[in-house]
Amino acid sequence: MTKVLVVDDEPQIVRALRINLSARGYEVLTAFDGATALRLAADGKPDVVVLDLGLPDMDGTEVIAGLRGWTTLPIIVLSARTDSSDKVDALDAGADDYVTKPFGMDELLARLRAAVRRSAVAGPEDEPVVKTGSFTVDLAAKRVLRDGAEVHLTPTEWGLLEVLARNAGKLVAQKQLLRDVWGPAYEKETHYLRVYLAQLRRKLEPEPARPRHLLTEPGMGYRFEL
Amino acid sequence: MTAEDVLADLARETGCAADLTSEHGRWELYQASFGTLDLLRAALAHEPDAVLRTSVLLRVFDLVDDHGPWLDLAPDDTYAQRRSREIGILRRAVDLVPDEIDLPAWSDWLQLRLAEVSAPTVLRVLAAEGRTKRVRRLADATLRAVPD
Repeated sequence: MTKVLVVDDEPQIVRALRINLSARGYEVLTAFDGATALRLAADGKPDVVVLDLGLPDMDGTEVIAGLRGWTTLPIIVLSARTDSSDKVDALDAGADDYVTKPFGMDELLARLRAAVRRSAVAGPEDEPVVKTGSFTVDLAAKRVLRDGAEVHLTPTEWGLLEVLARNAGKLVAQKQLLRDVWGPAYEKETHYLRVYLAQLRRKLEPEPARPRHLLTEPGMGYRFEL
Repeated sequence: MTAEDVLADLARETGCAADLTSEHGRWELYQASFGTLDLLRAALAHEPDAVLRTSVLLRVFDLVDDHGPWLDLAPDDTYAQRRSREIGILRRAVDLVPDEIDLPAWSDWLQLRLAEVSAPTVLRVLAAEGRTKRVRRLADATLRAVPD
């Protein structure tokens, strides 16, 4: 059963959504403020969040940013029709989609189904093992196996590989990698990436000069391909 | 090429099967397209929804150094222009001198991001006068972690 976390400070809307979603087979969690939403998102493990931007204790975009710090859970924002900057702010903060108020139940359900479908295609968020044709990355055990033997990686090499493997198939920007692995002060040190990617390729790629899995997108970033 | 042709090209390239007549479907497509920036730019030139166009531009700005060709797609988009200027400030945060620090003109977005950058000159101002408590607290924490 798909579990939906509904976050809105208007009791009538929460009640209507709870009744409608429950009737259609969704399990529904509810929160009336941002702090409760963040706690329930962690404890209740919802599959998707429906979030109103106007909350009493914090801005809805702060809730999105708080969630995006640790999860790629789909977030659908309920936004006011009159304020297009609301939508831009929400999408910029990391929301996946939006529904404009006042909305019909059919429209919200369509957006929910699409978000859950995309999330399912992307695969389980905390997939502990990423397998390529050449090596296997066990994210939970922090180990890499190649031809049945463990490959020793330095902590920095591991950090880099982990970020790429958790985003398999997606372009990861140079700045994001530098920020995530080395910290915000190192966002301009792109030569670190060239050095460490070369090391990783030597350890993991069958032909380091012609990488199949740790790919460079010139001027933009890197992509991990299975 | 028509807008439909360009979108179809992008959908083929990315394998996206979303309904491209809907703004939600196009948003899904654009999100899958950051690895094919030339095609994305061509598609965005035809995007009728200003919210989508701006939202995509904001994400692209993080990926590319030269914002000019992208800003040309939306010459009246003050939101995107401001973000582009602010990313410029963010990228040279460590070189900013006190006279360039203009908190009233800087958005919450910029202040929050600068609060995480190891740029002591900016951090000291943000820790004292940042617009929100979150900015001030974060700047103060970052400042403590910056070596003297």
